Amino acid sequence: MSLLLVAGVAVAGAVAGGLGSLLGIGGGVFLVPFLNAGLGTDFEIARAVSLMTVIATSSAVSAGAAGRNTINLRLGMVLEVASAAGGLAAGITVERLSPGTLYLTFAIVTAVIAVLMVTRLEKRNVLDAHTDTGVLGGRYYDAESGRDVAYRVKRLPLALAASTIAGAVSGALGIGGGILKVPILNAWCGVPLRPAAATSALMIGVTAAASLPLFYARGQVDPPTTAAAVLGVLAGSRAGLWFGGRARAKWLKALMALVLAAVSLLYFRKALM
Amino acid sequence: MRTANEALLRLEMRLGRLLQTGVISSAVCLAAGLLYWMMRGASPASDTALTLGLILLMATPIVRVLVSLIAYIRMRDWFFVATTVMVFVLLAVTIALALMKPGAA
Repeated sequence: MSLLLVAGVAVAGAVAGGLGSLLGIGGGVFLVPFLNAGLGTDFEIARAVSLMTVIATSSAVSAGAAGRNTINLRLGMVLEVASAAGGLAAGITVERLSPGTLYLTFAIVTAVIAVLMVTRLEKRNVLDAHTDTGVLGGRYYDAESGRDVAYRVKRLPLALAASTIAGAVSGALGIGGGILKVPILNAWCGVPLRPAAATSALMIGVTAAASLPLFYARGQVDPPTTAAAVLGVLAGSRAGLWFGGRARAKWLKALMALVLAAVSLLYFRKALM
Repeated sequence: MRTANEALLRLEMRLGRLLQTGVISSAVCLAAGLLYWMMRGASPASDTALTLGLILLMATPIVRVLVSLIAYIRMRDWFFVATTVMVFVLLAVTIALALMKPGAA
């Protein structure tokens, strides 16, 4: 592992982390192709390194969000049963997948994410603060309406299914998987976008922890590369949050959806070769 | 209901501090290890610092689940005790498998 490569990984981490926080998604979907296709790292290594950064992002973002009541600890824990099971299943089975299958899965998932990024609709889902929220619902201060609001969780089996798939995708591909479950929680399960995103950010750390130790044991976590990526992502996402308050990200979303579409095509090609 | 919400908010704050401590201490270890590695190449000192940083990072969400478990036991919220135990068991299986086959392909 050369110095130059470590520096490249740190920069890639910073860019991925910055883009991730600007777009409200984790940076893994950018980091994995950058390491794998860009720097020529093995997919297994790129996945393990990226999962480490997913945990770092999860911890840092959740620490920052704590105390605002937007993290739904109860819903998160229930869905973590599903996402951790998905992650563990992927961690056990993924070595049996051929590289072609893995690339094809990555191509499909990046295409789905690209589409979700530009079409994601925001449903408000907020109810009067005095509504009974049920066991899994929540209350928080909604800055947009300037008052306390409540929400109820609907269609829990759907949320569990989405979390299982997001967990499996996370373990197989090394991404957080938040963007796969947040739109479902928001569109069909009654959860407003902010609690959905905050709860998902908390969940991806445990989800990654359900597969990553297996990759670590297989020697796929190269320490200097991972350290560079983690530090880069932490710095980048901090910078992204700082810029995020100042710029509208609509054009950036469209641009990055195009980048992801290109990444998707690249992996379709890799899968076919 | 109100007191349950307050207990959850307190738990959220405590978990936030825990995650903050985890990510900062791991970042410090990783930065120190990486710096040492860049200056002197791989050495026992850089290896120790980097490994410690990586283990701390992976352990943080797992400790978060344990702390939540203790909190739900204190709240006598048995549904969430059961849920949290399930998450913890899944993580324990991962760790047990990881320890069982170190270096396996």
